[in-house]
Amino acid sequence: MQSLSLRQTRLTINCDQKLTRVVTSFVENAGICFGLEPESALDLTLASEEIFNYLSFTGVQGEQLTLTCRQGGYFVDLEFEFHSEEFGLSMFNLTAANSVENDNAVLETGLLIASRLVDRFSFFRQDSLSMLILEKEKSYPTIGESLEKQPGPLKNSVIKRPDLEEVKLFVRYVTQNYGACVVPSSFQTPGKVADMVKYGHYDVAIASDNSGAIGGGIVWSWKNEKLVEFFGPFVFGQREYSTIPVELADHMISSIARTTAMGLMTQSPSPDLPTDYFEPLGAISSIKPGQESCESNSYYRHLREDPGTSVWAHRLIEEFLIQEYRKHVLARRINLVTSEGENKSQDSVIATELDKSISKATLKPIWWGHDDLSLLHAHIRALVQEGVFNIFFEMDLGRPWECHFTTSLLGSGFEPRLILPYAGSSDILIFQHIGSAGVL
Amino acid sequence: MSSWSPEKLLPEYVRTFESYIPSKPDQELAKLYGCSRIFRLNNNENALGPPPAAQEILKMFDPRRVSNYPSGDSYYLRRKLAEKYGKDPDQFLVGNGANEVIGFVIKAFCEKGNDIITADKTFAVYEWIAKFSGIETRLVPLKDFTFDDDAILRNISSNTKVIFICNPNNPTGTYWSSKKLERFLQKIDKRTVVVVDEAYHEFVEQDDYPDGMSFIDRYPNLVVFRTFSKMYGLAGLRIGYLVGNLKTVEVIRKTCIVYSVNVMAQEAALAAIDDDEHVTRTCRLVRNGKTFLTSELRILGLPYRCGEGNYVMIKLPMNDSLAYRRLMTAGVMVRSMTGFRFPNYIRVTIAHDEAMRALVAALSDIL
Repeated sequence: MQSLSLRQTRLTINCDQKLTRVVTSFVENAGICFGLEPESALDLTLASEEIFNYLSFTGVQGEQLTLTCRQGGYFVDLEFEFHSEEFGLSMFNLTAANSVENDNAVLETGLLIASRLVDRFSFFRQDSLSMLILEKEKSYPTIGESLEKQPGPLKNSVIKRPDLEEVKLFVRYVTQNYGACVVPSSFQTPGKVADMVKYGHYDVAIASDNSGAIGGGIVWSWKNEKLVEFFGPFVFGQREYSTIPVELADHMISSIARTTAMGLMTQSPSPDLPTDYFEPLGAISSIKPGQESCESNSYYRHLREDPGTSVWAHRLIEEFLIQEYRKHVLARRINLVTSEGENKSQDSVIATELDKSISKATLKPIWWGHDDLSLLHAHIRALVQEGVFNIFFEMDLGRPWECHFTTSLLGSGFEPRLILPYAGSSDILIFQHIGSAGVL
Repeated sequence: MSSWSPEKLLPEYVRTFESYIPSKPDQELAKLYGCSRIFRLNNNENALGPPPAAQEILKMFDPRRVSNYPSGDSYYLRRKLAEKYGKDPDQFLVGNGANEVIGFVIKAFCEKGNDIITADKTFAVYEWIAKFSGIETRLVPLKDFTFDDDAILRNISSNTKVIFICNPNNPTGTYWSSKKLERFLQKIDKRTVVVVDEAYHEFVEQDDYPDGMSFIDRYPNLVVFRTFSKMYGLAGLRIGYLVGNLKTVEVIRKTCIVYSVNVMAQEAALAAIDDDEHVTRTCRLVRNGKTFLTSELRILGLPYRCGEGNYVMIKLPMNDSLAYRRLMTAGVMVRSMTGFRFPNYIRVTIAHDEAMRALVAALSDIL
């Protein structure tokens, strides 16, 4: 889907604490211009102040750094680009704790505060250049209680791209007709979905007839330039053997068939999914508090003739990978990572994506260090205390350093569950924590 | 501080374009999929190879000649084509495969703001070249697996410069009859260039199938594509051509890349073009192969589309790219059709009996 062109603005500035107000003024104004409400813009501003303050007192002092603020439609992101190898990234762990033991600890407390003021963060380092990206979402009203009148069976339906009012109506129908296991959490805020469609983060196709009634739809979203994730197909008010699910799947596949996408995937298939269009990847059990555990299959569709690829792995999971690749007929060359006495970092960093509506947390490695086992244990404890029982860890098999988490993952109760082909820089291996909910 | 990022310099239409990644060499694929040999049924190549006279040219070729540039405009080949088809040599432009001549036409006639029209489910290269040239493509859905003439006519705008018709269509094998093509050209009334891609022309044995070249004198906006890659088995040498009205070809020549067709390709094509016996033998192989394959597909209960051309499209009860991978483990390489916007279909080239039997056995195993 064609996205609206999004704006961005950039500030290059000396890293000098005296210039803090320049930075905060830049971030606050850009945040508001790009659609954040004043409260959210203030959160992003305070986060930027803490980070700028930290950088001013540590390795970047006096050096130039570049801040880029970008409009994302339903969020605003702020990128810090700087040269430093000493950034206290461990404060961005969910489990980081406040400390005032020394001057540096006080500064790192500021980072801790910054990490809690934003919705997501990511960190990249290439040579000595570091990039820290903070994301702050707009606020939207959650879906109301009132029920929409269900459409009847469509006559002469066509598959089409909806306008934004139709998107919101479609979202309401979906939440009325399907359970939380198959509905993306964003559907709790129809306005956010409309913005995600408007700015190209979601693509939607609906089945509609001449009267404008909506009988179903499907939503897809690019996880990265090679993988598309979808939700649905959703169908409402249609006869049992409606062809609408197949037409929606056909439309979605044809829409992305000649793009950069190599694969199409769902981890929460609707019961109306035409399964012969997809390959089952495996099942994952999960529970919601107070409910029975449920098992959901992940489905995948490769969109091209697979030329094969290489992946990295720790020897402890080599056999699992061999079995899985054989089962799914995926041509892969497995290269093993080794530890041969080389230095490793002190601290690990893990990003946590939380979806409390389905009691789910996904951990993603940002940095690997020798405290990985204790950090994983701390994350599990913290999440279980928060009432999050479905804990996953995503390992990108295209990044060898991520494979060094394997021993600690297995040692802290995680098990490899399924492979998402081409979901990262290569395949992604999903681990699930066993026992945090006592369901497996 | 800033690092080199060439993406920043790219036009948007190039940045968002997905480069085509061709299959790995057979040896690499055989290693990856653990098979000892591969039957190539993915590219509609001629299982008989080039005609004997062309093979002889290649065998006798003096390697020292490659230090000289070839004829920059395929001088002798154009004269030969003109003699065979009763045209002027300047009505022909030869390219490095028919893909290159698609580029000549789009570059000659289209600029920013223009569009081309073709079908949604046809040979992808018209759409690709337009896209990475910054030209919009209007895709008109096939009707009953065939190019929809009325819908194409309805989609023409003042910005439309070229219409691409694949006849017979790859991959569905459907075609426009002489009558239908003529009616279409009349209705176009010289508003746009009409390209009729006849890459599979020599395989068609139906009486009402048109010879696009016979319409050129009456319709100066018509351009016909032909190739030596399919029937004449010279795919590895990359050589194809276009033919049209003198004035039309004169303007297309402005964007033609000279010296892009190598000397072996020009000489092999010259030797191949008169071998009618090769055409007869190939058509017989294709006819027999289709009879065998369609009968086996009926036994397997698989729906198929068997039209003109040396290929058949088969509908599978599974994802076509999964089928591709499973068939590869049996050493059978097919074309998965998702990229042609036909989810769950594969296209297979009709080849020798041994390859067809291997295909049927492998299909039977994966169902």
